[in-house]
Amino acid sequence: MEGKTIRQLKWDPDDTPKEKAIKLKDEGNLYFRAKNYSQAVVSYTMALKEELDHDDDLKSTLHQNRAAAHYHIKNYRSSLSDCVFARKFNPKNIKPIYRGAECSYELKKFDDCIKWCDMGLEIDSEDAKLRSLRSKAESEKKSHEKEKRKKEMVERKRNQTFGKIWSLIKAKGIEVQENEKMFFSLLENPANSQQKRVSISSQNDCELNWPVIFLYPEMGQTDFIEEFSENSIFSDHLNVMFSQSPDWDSQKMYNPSSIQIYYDNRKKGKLMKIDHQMTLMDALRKEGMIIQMGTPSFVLLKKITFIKLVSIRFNLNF
Amino acid sequence: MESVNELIDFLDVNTRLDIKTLALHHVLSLTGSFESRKLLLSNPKCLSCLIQLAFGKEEQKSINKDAFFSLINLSADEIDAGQMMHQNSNLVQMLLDYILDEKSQFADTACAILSNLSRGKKNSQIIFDKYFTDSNNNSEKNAAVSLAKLLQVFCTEKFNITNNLDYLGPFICNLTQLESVRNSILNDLLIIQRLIPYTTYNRSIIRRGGLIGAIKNCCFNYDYHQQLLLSPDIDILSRLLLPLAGPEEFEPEEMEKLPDDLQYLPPDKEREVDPDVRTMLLETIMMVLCSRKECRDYIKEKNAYVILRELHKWETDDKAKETCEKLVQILIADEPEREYENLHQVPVPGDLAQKFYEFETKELEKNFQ
Repeated sequence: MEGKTIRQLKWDPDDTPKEKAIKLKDEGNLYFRAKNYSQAVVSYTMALKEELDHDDDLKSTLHQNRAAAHYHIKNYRSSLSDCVFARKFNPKNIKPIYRGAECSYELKKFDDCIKWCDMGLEIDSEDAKLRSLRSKAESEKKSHEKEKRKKEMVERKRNQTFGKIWSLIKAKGIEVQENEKMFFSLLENPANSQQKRVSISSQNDCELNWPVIFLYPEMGQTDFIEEFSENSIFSDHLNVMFSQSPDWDSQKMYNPSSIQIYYDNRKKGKLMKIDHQMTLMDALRKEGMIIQMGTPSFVLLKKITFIKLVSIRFNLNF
Repeated sequence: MESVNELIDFLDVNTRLDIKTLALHHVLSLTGSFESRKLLLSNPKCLSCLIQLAFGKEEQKSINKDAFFSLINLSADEIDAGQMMHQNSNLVQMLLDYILDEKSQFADTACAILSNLSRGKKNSQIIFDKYFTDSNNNSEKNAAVSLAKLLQVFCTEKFNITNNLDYLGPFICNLTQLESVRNSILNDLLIIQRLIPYTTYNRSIIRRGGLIGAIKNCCFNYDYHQQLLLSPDIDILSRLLLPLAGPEEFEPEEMEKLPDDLQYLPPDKEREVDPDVRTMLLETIMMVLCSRKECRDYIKEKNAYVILRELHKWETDDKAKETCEKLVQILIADEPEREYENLHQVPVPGDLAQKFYEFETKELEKNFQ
């Protein structure tokens, strides 16, 4: 509160409001010169609280100075509103206009910036600073608008793709747990950002590639297939995956012929068999097959052990 | 003749209101035909009365309005327009002052009269020499209007709340028939920067068309092409191409080469609706394209070709399509030899010129059949 003591010392009880305001302004200017901008703002604010009735020039100067102080501490919005007042009290003053243009530029309001520049150029059409700021704003505006259009296009494209995927899923009679909106947001922000999402095949735009999870509950293991084309069959994947025994299968019990694939029939609440020669699409269209979180999952068990596990329910968390 | 003179006598400011209104109605309907316009103008009293009634602050609004409309009609022909300015040397000054007053109620009609008056090059010259201040020596003439001020008013949205001053577009376009006007526009970066966004101004074809015409006229000053085209502060190519671009999507590598303003256009992007304005835009690009190698290189590098290619597929107007074809031909042709760099100034041998002329005439006839 050092500032306050200085101020009290200077104050003369007989000062008129205007004299007080001028003293406070000078104090603000001192702070400003010392680069203590927030303290300068305080001084100017106190000066503006004095009764200055019709002294528009002084009010304009105070707002203009406070605008400058705000600008230096990047309070562009506050600075801008001071510029508006500074101009209101003295429309011929070009300084707050220039400041207003600068603030608008910093706030990326390029149209406003151009308007401020034009206001200033009406006073002095040759002002080089305003002319160059105006040019700068014009060209920034261009690239800004381009980026905006680009973003919109990306979004539009994405929504188109999502819409297409959604209608393909519906047309194929595949059930997913989420509604359209939730499914879109799932595609947009998957639970795991590295995770693959269902996509349209690059070869055939009516064909979907699904990310698929294989669960091995006996071993507590999972496999993740990033792109399982819906027209390929399970055995193709199994043959590749089990051409060598995985590390977790030290006893070499899992191989394509010993594995039985099941899906969880959610309507009946039990596991149902799937033939190895079945395509993914046919499996997804089975009664009671409901895709959760955009990722179909299947349970793979050794043929002999199934009987023991019939009643196990799986809680999948991924 | 006698009856017309009698009618004109009733236009006097001091005539009783009901008679004056009626007489003015008659005059207004007379101004619709060519012969009666000649007749009306042959009596100098007619013009001076109409001017008094149009600008008279004490007159009723409907009188002001009818008088202004009569003046629009009277100035419709170039020769009459010249005669009007000769008969009453105050008219142009009054119109200009009226337009520059933001409270004027019929400023739009005043703009339209000026646009009529300035149509011929000779009339434009008279207007500019007599009523506009010279940027070099302001003192000599007591005229108060500067071109810069007029352009600034044109570019100020809502300068006049009840009038949009769109007819200043054609007026400015007419003035750019004069080289001195073109030069003062081209010499001020700020003026061009303010004017060129109007090439895509979709609220008014009058304003847009007039402005594009003015830009086209300015491009007759070949020396400025490089500055117009290559200065990033102006970037005229974007402004000429943007109204010609449609919603078509381009491959990313094609897109990246285009000027910023033409990238990622939305699917609802519309082309300029008026085929004459499209032709004018194409002709302007052609002029810039022809003058220098640097300009051709720049336009090629900016991939203007793909915009024109899509325009050509879409275009249904013969003239615009043909202009588009010519433009593409220059764009894809080999660079001419150094001495013929400025295609505007390539000498054409007499026999070929004759052939070109015959060909053009035939083409023209074909269009009119």
